[in-house]
Parts: sequence; structure tokens; C-alpha cells
Amino acid sequence: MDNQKSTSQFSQNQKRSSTLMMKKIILSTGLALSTGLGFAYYLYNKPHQGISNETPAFVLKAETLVSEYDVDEKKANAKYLGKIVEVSGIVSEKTKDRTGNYNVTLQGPDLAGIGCEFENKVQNKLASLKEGQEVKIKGICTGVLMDVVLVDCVIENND
Amino acid sequence: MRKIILSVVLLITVYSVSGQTRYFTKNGKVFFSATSSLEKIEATNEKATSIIDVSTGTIEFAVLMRAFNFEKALMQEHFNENYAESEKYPKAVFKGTITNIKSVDRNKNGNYPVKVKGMFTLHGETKEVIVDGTLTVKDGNIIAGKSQFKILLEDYKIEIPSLVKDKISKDVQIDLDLNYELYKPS
Repeated sequence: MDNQKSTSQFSQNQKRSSTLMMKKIILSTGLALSTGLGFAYYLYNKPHQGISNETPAFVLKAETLVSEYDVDEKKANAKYLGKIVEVSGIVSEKTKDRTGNYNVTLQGPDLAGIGCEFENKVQNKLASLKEGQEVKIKGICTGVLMDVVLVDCVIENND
Repeated sequence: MRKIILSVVLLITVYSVSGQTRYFTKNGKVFFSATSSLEKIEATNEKATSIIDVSTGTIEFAVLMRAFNFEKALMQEHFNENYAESEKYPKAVFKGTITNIKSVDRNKNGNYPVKVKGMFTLHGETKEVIVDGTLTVKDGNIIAGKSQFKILLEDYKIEIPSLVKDKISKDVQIDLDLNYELYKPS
């Protein structure tokens, strides 16, 4: 008798624990799924991070980068396109566009130079920048038109 | 090679400098939208180049695909890797003529409607395009050019996977806002 009772109790316990287990599984799956979806949504909507904290893939002189594009654009693109580069050079031109943003060009070895488009949040750092000044600029290389073009630029050493 | 081209350009400019007929920009703005009812797809590029020679009406325009800036980082990555294939085709180029350049009077300030006809190369495909625009004259010089037109993605063999077909508009609206300055060879 006693034995039987304990068996049924045991099975009841087992049943309870298995439903508990089911609940746990459902709950954790749901949690994982919603976290995953949430993360995917977050990734999907992630705005630009900016590159101020990123290490450049290449550190070189402005003239060197322009020369490499002069010599062989295809080869230079294979090496630099989409990569973060840090260039040091002399500001040959600084202009303000209609929206009040500064455009800065670094001097190259000939007519062509490096055109830099800056992140909005570093625009205030550019006000004091002067033509003829030596600077270090980090940006993403996007190729060459009249100038080699860097975008998302940050200025590295203008205090 | 680029050096040679540059020096040729310089030479030509030196010879034609008496007329001061060339205008250029290195910071032209391009905006495009492939927005559908389901999703906002927009990008801007502020590094377009363009040269106009008013003596002949020739106009050139170029833009780097990687310099398009999207609000969403992942969308930008998809644009470069799956659609524009920016590694393979880093730039889009237009070469053409302003067919009614004679009607633009540089001695009179104002906005002049212009017709532009030429070849547009995007994603490795070249197509003839004819677009309307305006040129702005101020104090003897051309200072700005604007145009708005649409292109069909399939004309340039940019394929949209069926999974996202409803999310991306088949025709893309392009807005050009180009500031020009007189080309002064140094």
C-alpha cells in the first residue's frame, strides 16, 4: 500500500517536474528568440559608429597615398578602398559649404590632393584649422576622382 | 597615367583660359532615394565632382559609391556589397553636353533651365540619359547647378533579390545640388 502510494506520488512529482521543465524550455526559448530578434533589430537599425576609436589599417603620408593612386588606381583601390587610413599632410585648402560644414583638402605631390569629409561632431574642431598647417586625419578611403576622397574623417592632432 | 591626364587637362585649360570658360566642383551633393512604401532608403554623398565648359557645353560628373552615407550602417554595407558592388565598380560617371548652353547668359543673373544629354555609367553599365536641370548665374559666373531625375535599377543591372523586392523601389530618385566655382589653373 505504502509502496503504491509512493509510486503514484513519484509519478505525480515526475509529471509536475516535466510540466515545469516544459514551461522552462518554452520560457527560455521565447527569451532567446526575443533577445535574438531584439538584437537583430538593433543591428539592423544601428547608426554609424564613427571611427574615432578604431585603429587605422594604414598610416602614411598624404603624398604617398595620392602617388599610389596616381601610379595605379586599380591597385590602390584593392589596397585602400573601404579601409581606415590615417594620413599626415599639409592643409592646402579649407572651405565652408552652404550648410556651414568645412571641407578640407590635404596637399598631394601634384595637382591632386586628398579631399576630406568630416563627421558632423568634429566640425567644431575644424574652425581653428588653418591652410598651411600640418595635420593628421583619419578617415575611410572611398577612392579617387579629382582628389583621393576620405569620408567619416576625424582629426587626430589639432588641439 | 593620371599625371598625364592632369597635365593634359592643365594644358588645355591654360590655352583656353582667356575665355575663363571652365567651372568645377569637388564638393557637389548627391541625394538618392529608393524608398518604397515599406522602407526608407536614402543616402547622401557630398564629394561629387563636376566640370562644365561653357564654351562647348560639355559637362562631366563623377561620384564615388563608397562615399554615400546612409543613416543605417547595415544598409550602407548592403548597398556597397550587394547592390552597387562598390569594390568592383567604385564610381559612377556621367559625360555629356548641355544642349542649350547658348541660352545661359553669364552677363545676367538668374536661374537658367538647361537640357543635359549624355552617357551615364553606373555598376559597369552605360546608358544614355537626358535630364532637365537649372544653372544659376551670379555676377558673371556659374555658381550652381541642380537636377532631379529618376533611373531604373534594371537598366544598370542592379538586381534586387525577390525576398526584399517590395522593400526597394525599382526606380531611384536622384537629386543633384552642385556648387560651381571658376577653374583657375595654378
